Amino acid sequence: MKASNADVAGSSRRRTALCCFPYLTGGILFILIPLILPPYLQSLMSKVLILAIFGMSLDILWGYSGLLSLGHAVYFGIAGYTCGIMTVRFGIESFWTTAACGVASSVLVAAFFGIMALRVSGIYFLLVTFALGQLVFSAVTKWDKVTGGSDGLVGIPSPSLGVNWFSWSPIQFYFLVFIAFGICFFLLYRFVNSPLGLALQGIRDNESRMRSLGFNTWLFRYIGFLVAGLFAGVAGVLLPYQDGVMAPGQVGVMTSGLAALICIIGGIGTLFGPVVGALVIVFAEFIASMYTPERWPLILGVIFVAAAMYARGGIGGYLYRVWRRAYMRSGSPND
Amino acid sequence: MMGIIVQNLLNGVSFGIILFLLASGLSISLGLMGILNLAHGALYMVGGYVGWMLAVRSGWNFWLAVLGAGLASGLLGLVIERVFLRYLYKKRNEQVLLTFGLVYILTNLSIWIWGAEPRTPFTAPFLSGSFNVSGWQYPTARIAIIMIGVGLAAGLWLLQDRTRLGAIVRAGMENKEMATGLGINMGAVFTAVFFVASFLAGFAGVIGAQLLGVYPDLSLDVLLLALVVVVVGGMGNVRGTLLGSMIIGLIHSFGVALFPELAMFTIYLVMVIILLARPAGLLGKKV
Amino acid sequence: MKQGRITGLGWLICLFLVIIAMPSTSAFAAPASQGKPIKIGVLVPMTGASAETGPKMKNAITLRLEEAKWQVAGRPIELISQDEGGGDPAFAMAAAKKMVEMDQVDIMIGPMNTPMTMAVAPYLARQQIVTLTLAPVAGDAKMLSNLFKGWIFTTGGEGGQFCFPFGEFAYNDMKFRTITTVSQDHAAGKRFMGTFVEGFKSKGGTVVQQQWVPYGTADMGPYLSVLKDGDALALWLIPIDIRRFLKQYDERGLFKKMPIVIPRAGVIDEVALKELGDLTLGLVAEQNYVNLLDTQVNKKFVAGYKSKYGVPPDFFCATAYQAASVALAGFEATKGDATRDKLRQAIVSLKLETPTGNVSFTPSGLAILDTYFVEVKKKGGEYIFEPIKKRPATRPLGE
Repeated sequence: MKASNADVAGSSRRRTALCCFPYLTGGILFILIPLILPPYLQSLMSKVLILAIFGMSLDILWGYSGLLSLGHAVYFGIAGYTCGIMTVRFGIESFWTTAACGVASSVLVAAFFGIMALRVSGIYFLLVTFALGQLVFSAVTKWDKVTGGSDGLVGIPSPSLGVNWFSWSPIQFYFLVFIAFGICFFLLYRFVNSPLGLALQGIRDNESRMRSLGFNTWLFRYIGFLVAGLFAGVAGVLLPYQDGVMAPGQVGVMTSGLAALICIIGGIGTLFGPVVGALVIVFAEFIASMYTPERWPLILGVIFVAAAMYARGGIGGYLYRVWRRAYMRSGSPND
Repeated sequence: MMGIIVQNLLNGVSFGIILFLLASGLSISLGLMGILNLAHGALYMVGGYVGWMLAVRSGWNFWLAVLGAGLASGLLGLVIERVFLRYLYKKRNEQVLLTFGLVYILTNLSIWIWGAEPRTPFTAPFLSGSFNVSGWQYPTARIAIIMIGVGLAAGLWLLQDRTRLGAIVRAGMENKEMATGLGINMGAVFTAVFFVASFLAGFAGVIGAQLLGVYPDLSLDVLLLALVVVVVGGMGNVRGTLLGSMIIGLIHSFGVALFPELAMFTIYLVMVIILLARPAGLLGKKV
Repeated sequence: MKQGRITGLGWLICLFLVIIAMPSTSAFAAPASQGKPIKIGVLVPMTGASAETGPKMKNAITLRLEEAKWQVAGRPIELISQDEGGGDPAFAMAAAKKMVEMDQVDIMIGPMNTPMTMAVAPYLARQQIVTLTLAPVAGDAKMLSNLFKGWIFTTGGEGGQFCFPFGEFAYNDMKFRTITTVSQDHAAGKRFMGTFVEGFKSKGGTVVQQQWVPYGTADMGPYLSVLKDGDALALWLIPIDIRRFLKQYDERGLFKKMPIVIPRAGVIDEVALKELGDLTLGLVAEQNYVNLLDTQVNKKFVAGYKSKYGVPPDFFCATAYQAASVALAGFEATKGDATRDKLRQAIVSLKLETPTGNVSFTPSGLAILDTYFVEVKKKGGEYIFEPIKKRPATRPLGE
């Protein structure tokens, strides 16, 4: 039976609706649910979204450009330290100023490190980024007059938006983070679907072919590196206000590893994957440590091992496959 | 002055040998098998604890304890490879997740079994005490470490470059299908190689315990050190790992003596400088 | 292939079941309930570098509560404990927030590590939760009062209040005139060694060399190679590093040349003494608790801890026991009233005798504690810390 024009139009509308459906529901859930949560769970949700932005930034580098970095936390932590140092050591209160400087510092470092790291790829890229990350970690730990050293920078006050009557409560901070997250998500979505983003994916899949087609693969990767660094910086400027502390660990390999974990568990190469991953990891850690304060790393470890063995493409990947099947079943003209 | 130089030369070399021991397993699994085994440090730690349990708590002969520890880690590695890693050979991402999870599990299990109290460095009774070297005393154990390390390096190099097994492994890395076509059971070879790498980790755990002791955070501290060595020296070959570990060991010793407060920073700085010149490490494959 | 994966799944399920089967260790509740329970929150390290101290401290606190029959002033007591994490202040913050906002604890005991304490202090002060610390914080009295705002009580002491008198002791009693120091390069290490040196210099001593060991350094050898000569070596390092150092010091025969003094000797305990052996004989240290203290209160504590847990208590156990005693005494003074301000006032005016000695507080909540100078000896085949001098009522520096 031939499809009529009306059928095609209808199924096209259904396709668009189905496409936006997960994002809209996700967005609504992320707005509504925190409203009914107690304050300390709200700050946990802020942590989830901050880590989600961080994870998405790594995903640009890993999922979309094919470069796993073990030093991505540098751009995350440096932005945070810049904000913290400006507020605590120099008394600069305005959030806009510190945030702008924080993001700028991340991009600067990314510009510098990118040149070094992008001379190689694959396992070597991993090792170079690891080395650069450790160098920064060591410098931050050593420079304790400024950064507070291994004991961290404490007593970071809540951000000042330049409006006096505004004072922060967990739910308000959450919505600040949520808005930042929404903007980042939207921008990154446009980026990965833009010609630049598609070129990056092409380079990830087959670099020599892209080069033979005339693309300057190094330049594209470098831009991708900068973008990843920039968004890591955006996540980083929110970090010090979350708990009021910055610790050297936040520029180190453990935090870089955390970003990688968030991506893998959630699903690499998808933007919403890191959101799922951050949700899973933050809450798994919280619930596990509540249930058994001494043995909680065991539970987390088992979850990671199980996810590695059985959730191919991560939990996000699994959800994506489920959604895709529904999508496929809806709009085929040969219905 | 001369004394300080000679002492730190010995310090650097003996510490470097420990780094060599703990990095060689990682270099093998990473360079030869392409497996990113983040649990390598955890295998070292388990070896250290088993060695401590045998040598200190149960009073075994030190060398038997070393063997026992190597076997324990080797068997653990075998289980990990057979049950988990075997299905993840080309999947770098899943390897990262899996081995990271294993670190959490092994570290916490070790705390559960052996307690979290850090263990004092221990050694064989006949190795405790010191040599008299031109007026000052130098620990015998560190000299022994150097000798063991050199012996092991020679053995590994022989194995890799001069034996049929080594050739098979190298061939399998280059082209698995070809090697299988020649009738070689690559699955068995991989398992054997991973066993050796894990055995080395456990072995290193006890030899290293003479200097470093044993404590739970060792799983991560050792992994970091091993990665640094592999970055500097290049992975997959014995010479590279040896060179990398010697450089790091000597930099640490002389760095502390000359710039005491910048010890770790100097190491990382040198690491980055070397990488700028040779991204694959000093003796790694040219990239 | 499928079969292999099922085996893997099998292992994981077994492990998971074992973990789940463990009883939930986070809450202990009183058997009989008369009235709303008083909730005591305990934040101690259960994972990470100090993982061995957390369970010990929880045990000591549990012992104290059991002795009180899990009630005070007619109200039952509920104990809630959480991991403060292995070094991530944000983790400690999350745990603190959970206990304050979800569990609604009336009083907080912990955290233990200085960076965690400094990180959660502003939050706890804002929430007006009476907090009793478990280990010395680093900082002078003025800085601490500003940060703690009277809500955080330094039941664990402040580094300087113990180390300064020890410095004086090293000069006056041990008759050392010159020292060389080796200490960890972080806030606690700098504070302990810094104030020890101040005390030593205040009597006229001189320092020939100071070495700072960064956190995470693996090999102690190089520090030994450039060690200068003095009358004594003042040493303070984290547990794993100090064990490595002492072993190598001995291996190079350096004990014959220069004795070692250790301020804040909580980093080595009787187990370490046994592992290190005879090389520790003659070590002089400062510690505000050793289990040989000859007081009624302490003898009862040591006997009770030993019979319940099978091993003698150490410095960490005693500090935790002391904090629990302070908490109970506070509630007794308010007659069970957990109103925050009343509790705070009650605790500030306390004067208690605990296994560590006498405890009282300055008006801003900084503790005045006794400390002891001890020497390592061997008695009856066991290595012990024998008290040689008591220094009562040390006060925080910089008041």
